[in-house]
Amino acid sequence: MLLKIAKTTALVAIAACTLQAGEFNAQAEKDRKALVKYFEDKFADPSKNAAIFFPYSTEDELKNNIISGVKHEEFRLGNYAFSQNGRTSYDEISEMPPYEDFIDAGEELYNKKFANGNSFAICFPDPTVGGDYPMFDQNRGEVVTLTQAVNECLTSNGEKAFKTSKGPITHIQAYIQAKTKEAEKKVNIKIESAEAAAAYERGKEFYYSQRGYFKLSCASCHVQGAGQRVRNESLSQLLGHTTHFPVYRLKWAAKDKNNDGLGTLERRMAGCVKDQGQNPPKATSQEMKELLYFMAYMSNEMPVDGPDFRK
Amino acid sequence: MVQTSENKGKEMKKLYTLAITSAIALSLAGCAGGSSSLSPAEAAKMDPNKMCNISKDNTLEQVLANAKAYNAAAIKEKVEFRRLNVNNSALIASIDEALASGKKMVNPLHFKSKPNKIKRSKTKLKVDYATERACKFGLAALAQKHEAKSTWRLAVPGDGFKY
Repeated sequence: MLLKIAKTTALVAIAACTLQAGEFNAQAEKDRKALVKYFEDKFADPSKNAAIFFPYSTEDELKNNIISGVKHEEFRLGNYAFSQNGRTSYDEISEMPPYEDFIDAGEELYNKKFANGNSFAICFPDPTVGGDYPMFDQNRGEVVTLTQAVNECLTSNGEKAFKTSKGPITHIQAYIQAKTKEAEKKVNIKIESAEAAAAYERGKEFYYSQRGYFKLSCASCHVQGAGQRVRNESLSQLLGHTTHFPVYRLKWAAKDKNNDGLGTLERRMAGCVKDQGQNPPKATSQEMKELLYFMAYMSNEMPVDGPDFRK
Repeated sequence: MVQTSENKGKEMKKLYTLAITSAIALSLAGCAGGSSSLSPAEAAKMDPNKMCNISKDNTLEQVLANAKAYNAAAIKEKVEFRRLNVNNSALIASIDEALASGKKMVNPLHFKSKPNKIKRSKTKLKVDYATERACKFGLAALAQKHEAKSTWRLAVPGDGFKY
């Protein structure tokens, strides 16, 4: 009898825990599904829905440049998902992508021994984990990004941390993302506790809050403004933004003496916040990590597609 | 008086030290916070023109003091403005620097400037204008933070944003 009671209690406890774990991401799932629907609606038929979604675009632009009927997974391509002109150039450059040498450099780094004999291969025995970051570390009670994890691997082995914006950190990330892509894995961000849900909510609030000299939110350009033009650039959409980092930007490559245009997601986001007219948060600050956590969750279930290149 | 390159170098070093000291002091003030720090809610109720326009009743020194207080609070709230590669604290530091040297124009440091590698921004402004601007930047950063608390959900698809 006692054994029966113990078994039943244990089952009830397990069921309660499972139910609760499922509930922690309920709001995030609602947000994500609404975002997917919004972008699919927006790009279903841009010409027909111009008044709702593209009030400033010309008829010619909507007819000849904006691709109709873009579906969920295709949004991983950023603005090349819907911009016909951009897609043509993208497809041409994709035949010989400019970041390939840096994936090789990343592989070399991955296998290179540290002074103590360990290596990145010890910290990341399975390199196909690109889609799992940023993750909420329950023991530490904080979001851990891939950038942070790479640097903590270095420092815990007595090595000097990499710069968080460009250089070797992007090479190792490019290798990890390429392996993840090769394994056909998807973005898989988890929210399994009340603390993780709170971190997600703070990241979401940061994303949607107007800030800086221009009083813009990230969403002004990349949700409501996505698909619209700023000078000659089509603004990309939040959905899929984190799937393809580190990104090789032609703009960054032009400034680098080795033509290394790879940059981390943190570098790109700092640039965006700067463009809003605010002093951006540091790469491993709570604000930045929670912002990336929210953004990555929005790309859940999309294929990891990094590294990639952008203008 | 003929200025030798050595004298110029010394003067630059002095001014740079002043600028760095001011910037550090402003940042520390921001970090330290304190109970007297202006909150975003209080900032939202204030009139930027009244607090930041230089007039007979509101001298440059008073406006500069306001700018320092507002920006310290903005740093504490992590919403400090950066305009044309210049952090507002660097703009304020350049005003201190100009007032100390009697210059009429400010030329603040670029945000990438480092103690061992000084980098000036392209921004050149009259001292009065820079002071008003720094004050309004500090106040606006705080006021926006307060406003955003009630407006951010309006942009979320599936929540406040309808289409």
